[in-house]
Amino acid sequence: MQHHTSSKAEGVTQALKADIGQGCRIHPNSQGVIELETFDIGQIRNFSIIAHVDHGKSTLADRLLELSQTISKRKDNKQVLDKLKVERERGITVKAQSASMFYDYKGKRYLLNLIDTPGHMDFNFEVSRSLAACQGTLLLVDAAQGIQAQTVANFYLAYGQDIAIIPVINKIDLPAADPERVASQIEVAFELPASECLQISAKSNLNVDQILPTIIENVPSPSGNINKPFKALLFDSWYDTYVGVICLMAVIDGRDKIVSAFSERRYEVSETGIMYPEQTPSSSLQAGQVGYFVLNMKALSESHVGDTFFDHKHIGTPMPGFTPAKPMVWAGIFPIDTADFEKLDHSIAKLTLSDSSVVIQKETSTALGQGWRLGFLGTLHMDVFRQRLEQEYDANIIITAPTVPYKIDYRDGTQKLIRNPTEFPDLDEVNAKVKSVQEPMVKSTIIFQNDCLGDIMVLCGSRRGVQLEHTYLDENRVLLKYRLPLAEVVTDFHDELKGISSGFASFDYEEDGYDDADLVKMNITLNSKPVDALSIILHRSQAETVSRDWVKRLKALLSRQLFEIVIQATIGNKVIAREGLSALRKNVIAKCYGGDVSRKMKLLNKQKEGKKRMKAIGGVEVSQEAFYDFMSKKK
Amino acid sequence: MEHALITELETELVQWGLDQKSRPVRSVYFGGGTPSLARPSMFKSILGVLDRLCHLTKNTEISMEGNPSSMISVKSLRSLRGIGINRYSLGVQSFQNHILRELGRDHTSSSALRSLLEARLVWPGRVSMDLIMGHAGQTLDDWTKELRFTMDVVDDHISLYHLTVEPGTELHSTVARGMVTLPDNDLGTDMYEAMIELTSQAGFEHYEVSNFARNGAYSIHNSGHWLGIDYLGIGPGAHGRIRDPAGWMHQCTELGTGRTQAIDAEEAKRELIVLGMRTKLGVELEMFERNTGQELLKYLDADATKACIAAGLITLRPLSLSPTERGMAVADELVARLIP
Repeated sequence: MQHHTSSKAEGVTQALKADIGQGCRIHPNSQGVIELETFDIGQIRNFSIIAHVDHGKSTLADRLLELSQTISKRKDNKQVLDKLKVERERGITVKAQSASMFYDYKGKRYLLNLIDTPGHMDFNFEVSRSLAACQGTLLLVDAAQGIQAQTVANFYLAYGQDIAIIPVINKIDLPAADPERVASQIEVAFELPASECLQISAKSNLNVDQILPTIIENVPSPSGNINKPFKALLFDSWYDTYVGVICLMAVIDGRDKIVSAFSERRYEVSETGIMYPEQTPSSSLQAGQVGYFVLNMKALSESHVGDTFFDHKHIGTPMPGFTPAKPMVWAGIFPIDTADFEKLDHSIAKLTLSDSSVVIQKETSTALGQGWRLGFLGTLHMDVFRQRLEQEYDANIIITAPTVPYKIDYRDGTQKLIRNPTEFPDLDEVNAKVKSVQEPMVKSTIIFQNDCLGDIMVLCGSRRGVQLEHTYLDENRVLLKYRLPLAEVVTDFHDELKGISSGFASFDYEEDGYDDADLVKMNITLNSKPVDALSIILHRSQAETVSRDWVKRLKALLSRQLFEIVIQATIGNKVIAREGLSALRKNVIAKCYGGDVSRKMKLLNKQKEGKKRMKAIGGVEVSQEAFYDFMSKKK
Repeated sequence: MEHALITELETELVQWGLDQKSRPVRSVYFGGGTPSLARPSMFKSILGVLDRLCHLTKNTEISMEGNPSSMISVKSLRSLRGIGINRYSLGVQSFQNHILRELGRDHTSSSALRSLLEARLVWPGRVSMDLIMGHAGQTLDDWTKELRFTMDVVDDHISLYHLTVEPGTELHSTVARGMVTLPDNDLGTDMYEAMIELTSQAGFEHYEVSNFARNGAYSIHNSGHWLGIDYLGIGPGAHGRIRDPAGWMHQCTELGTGRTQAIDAEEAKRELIVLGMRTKLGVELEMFERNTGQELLKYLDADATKACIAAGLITLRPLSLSPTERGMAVADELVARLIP
């Protein structure tokens, strides 16, 4: 193995660097692969960075990659790990990634694997699976903003995995930074000594060089055994057009190149490698190492995240693994122009190749035509998916109001899971056959400035929340925990929270089982004909307010027509809200002689063209655009 | 100009095979611009050609558009009547000077009133005028007052138009910039309904969206157009399309004709319905079938037709499918539903 050191730095700086360690660029050998056999498991560290959105995780990752000479220091090293455009725009990481680094410290060369985690509550599931491949994590907190909701959620995920947690306070050079206050918040919330917090600025490279040595000192090396049969944990996978599915795995034991899956399928390993930071082939991957495997796997659905892979002759006990991602938010997606169905079908199929957590079913709506019902991990996941469809595939789509999965327990002992309001039993059926209706609940964490406490408690109360905890992180910052129905959280809760707190409240949640609830299905009718796309399931106590709002908004979006339109919201046979739109009184052009006629005919052709894109429901013409406006503007 | 017009007229008549004495001319209309400024001898020549090649009867309606600003003496009007003009139409537009100024007209309410009364002396019962409603800032009260006054001075025919803001005009840009506000659809509808009521009280029949007649003084010329009767447009402004009159005159004298226009069968069906649903008479079943080779009721969207009849927007009579007063007010929406 060749040792390449960086070009010589000068005098004192070099001496200091040598004390605390130095990055080292490793080059592939003549076969184009990096040799990893000689790495002792004691010289491997697998770690992650967990942080609230915008606390600087990606910038810190860039700095660490530069420091270890994994990438060269350039101005445009912007968030190497965030590969997708939407991720960059929203400043969040959707998918897990990994990056390997080599670092010389106290005379030894270390292989450091940074396993990146998604930074949003919808992807907590992915956070926990990334953490399972690590022995330590950097808990990154913004020196000005302090602890936020996701900081708390991520801390508990890491704490639950029993891995080393190193608190790091970032952005200490900001004018509003108050690292001492944040350190004491960390001590209050997590019982981590304030004195142990590293204080850095990833942006200006301040104290970043303390991080890798601290990791080497404080994070244990992986505990696998190179002499045991092969065993590896799959924690992420993606699809590559050329080689098929690429599996990101943490090798627990062994060094074999041949693996077979717990799913009892055998795979031939055609390539192994590390993310350095691009895919770089390695001679092998062995106990303690983290990297990718190309297994000639054809479909992403074959790669079950959390799956364990073994030497095919020694199939042992699988790793605890993960609960597979359960879609918690369902929504219908329809093309605005029904002629786009085929194209959109193709786009959705392609997009789900790189995001196997989206569940797809075909759906047909009388109001919106042919479409799909898609299951997402949460509303952000849904937004990201929608945005990728629009940006990467140029799609024009309507997304219906999100529905959470409800459970119906029948008196005869059967159970039904409802993903679409149209599946919800009618009032008669509920009265006659249903024992209970249950809705998914979440445990949420909200952190904010003291002065909006009242408003936030009112909001949580109006969303049927029950308070679980109320803690002061310091004299200004409050941490609230509420148990809330998921359905309340997915409908604008986050937006309202941001509104109340001028954008400063942070929010995170985790699933917390199912509760019985008094739920009803509300239908919207036009001249007594139901509009299937506008049915929703809601709590009885909210039916009145929501129904009035919906019929009023729908009225505003409909244009007057030849006949009167009656818009009603109904529960069972009972009308709970009503709006009428009187018939059009006048629509006729004044002059129509000679030359005017050809203009009139053009106008007629335009009108006919427009009517082709209308759906007639109860004799009322409704445009896809009206549905789009209705669905996209919730208030 | 005169030579160009006559050449085009002769060529067109021959080309379309209309130069037969067996098919008398129903109506002649000298419209657009300000024909009353032309020399009476020109009209005489044109009518002469028409009479020579076709046939003008004593029932042929021969109309002329008059300009209320031009000082034409009663004597001149009489000489026009002398050469055969038997109907006169005045573009009054308003009896209020501030509105006339806004519209950019060069006549005043008093010159308009004098022109109207003088024309009535020459062609009693055969004078038409027009009036425009829906001006910026106009109230329902303003409009009913002006209409009441008009009903006292009008002859037996009147055209009442809702102001149409044409793109490219100064009014269009001031409206677009929000400098003036026009009456909204509700107020416009109130004005339209007031106009129907007041004309009806004065004995007028609302026979087309914007046209009213009493004592049977319908405009034969326009009715012919709405009924789908063949017509020939002659002259540079006949369809408002020719922007280069000198070029047109040259083309006519060289080639004999400025343009030809024919419409396809499907377009012809639509046009008959679009125009018919704007008239009280509606679309005549027999005429539609004769012109298009298809039965009207088989052509129209059956569900829409039934729904519109049930809603009282159209009426099916033995000889025609006609809009009701309410249906005529929404004719544009109506035809978009009825036409498949």
